[in-house]
Amino acid sequence: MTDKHDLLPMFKTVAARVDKRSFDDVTRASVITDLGVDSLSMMQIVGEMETELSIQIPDEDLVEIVTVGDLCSRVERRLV
Amino acid sequence: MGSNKQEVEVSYDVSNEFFRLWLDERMNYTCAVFESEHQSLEAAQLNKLSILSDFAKVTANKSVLDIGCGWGACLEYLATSRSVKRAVGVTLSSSQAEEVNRRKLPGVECVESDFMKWETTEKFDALVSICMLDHLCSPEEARKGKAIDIYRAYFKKCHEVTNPGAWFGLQTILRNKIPRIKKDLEDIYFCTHVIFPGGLNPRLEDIVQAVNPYWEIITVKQRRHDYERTTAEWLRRMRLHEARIRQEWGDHVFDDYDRYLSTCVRAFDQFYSSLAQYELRRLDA
Ligand SMILES: C[S@@+](CC[C@H](N)C(=O)[O-])C[C@H]1O[C@@H](n2cnc3c(N)ncnc32)[C@H](O)[C@@H]1O
Repeated sequence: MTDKHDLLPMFKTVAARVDKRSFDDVTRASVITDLGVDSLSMMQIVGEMETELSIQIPDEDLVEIVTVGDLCSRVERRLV
Repeated sequence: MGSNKQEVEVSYDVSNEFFRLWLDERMNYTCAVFESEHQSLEAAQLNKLSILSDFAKVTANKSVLDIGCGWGACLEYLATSRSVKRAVGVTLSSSQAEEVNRRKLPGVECVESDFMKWETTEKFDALVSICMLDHLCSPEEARKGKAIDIYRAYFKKCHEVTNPGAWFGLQTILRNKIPRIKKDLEDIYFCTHVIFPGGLNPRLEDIVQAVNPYWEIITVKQRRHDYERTTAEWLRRMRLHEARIRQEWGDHVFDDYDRYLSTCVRAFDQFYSSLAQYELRRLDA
């Protein structure tokens, strides 16, 4: 995967904007609920990433997301 | 199960008088179908009942069961406009059952029971069920992957209480896209937990899966914008009575219902939710 398709930096920026705090230390292995991100904020983060990238992720892709990496890879999959 | 008796009573027993202020005169508490831009809510509700009765192939000599009959609008329509000789309704809410039986409509009987546990030996020729299925599966059950089994048990029960050759006019709300906006999610969460506790709307694909092997889907009509218009009209009418509602039932009732109806209008507009009507044919062995 090229850097162009590594969405971790974008996740950090968008999450920081949505939850109004720093997400600099987050890795792909971080568990989203451990970061204190609730399901409402997560959907908002998804929505903002979709808008920025001009993509639509089907809802069924969004169930069973546990880690930041799970979320990033579901978005990355839509970019190729 | 989804909504239990206490939860259903939260949704429908605020007070019959309260609902009478903003629903149509027959108190249909579900989506109407508008035939034209200027049609009244009253006419659009009758139109909805006519469509579903046609889907169920209702004629005067057939016995009809209305599952989740509310305040009896459909039962009254069947008895009066369609001259049906026997129309039975089932509802979980005692105040609804009392209200329907009090009217002593010819050939109409209303039973207070959980349909899924209702014991009857009677078999019906036609079924109508308008937005009752939406109560059957809770958000927790859906998360555990039980939705299809729950809906399938309902369609099986519907099969058991009908005669071969029966037809079924079904209407359900649908959930579609999960909002990506926090406020919209909070508003929808509020509706599912405060106004309609215990129930989660099905997805269209849930229904398509669950009817098998009991019913064949002949027609599906999506009515998303009709429900947007219906809820907008309820909201408009309710706001006309703001002062009285605040005085008689309290600020929280007005504020909660204002938020609930506004959320519905937006949810149908944004396709977070939709509404479908189905013409189903019984699969006879
Ligand atoms: C949204 S209301 C619709 C009422 C009516 N069909 C109408 O169109 O106005 C849902 C109805 O389903 C009933 N209901 C919900 N769960 C039920 C159950 N398990 N058994 C029987 N009725 C049920 C409620 O009591 C209520 O009357």
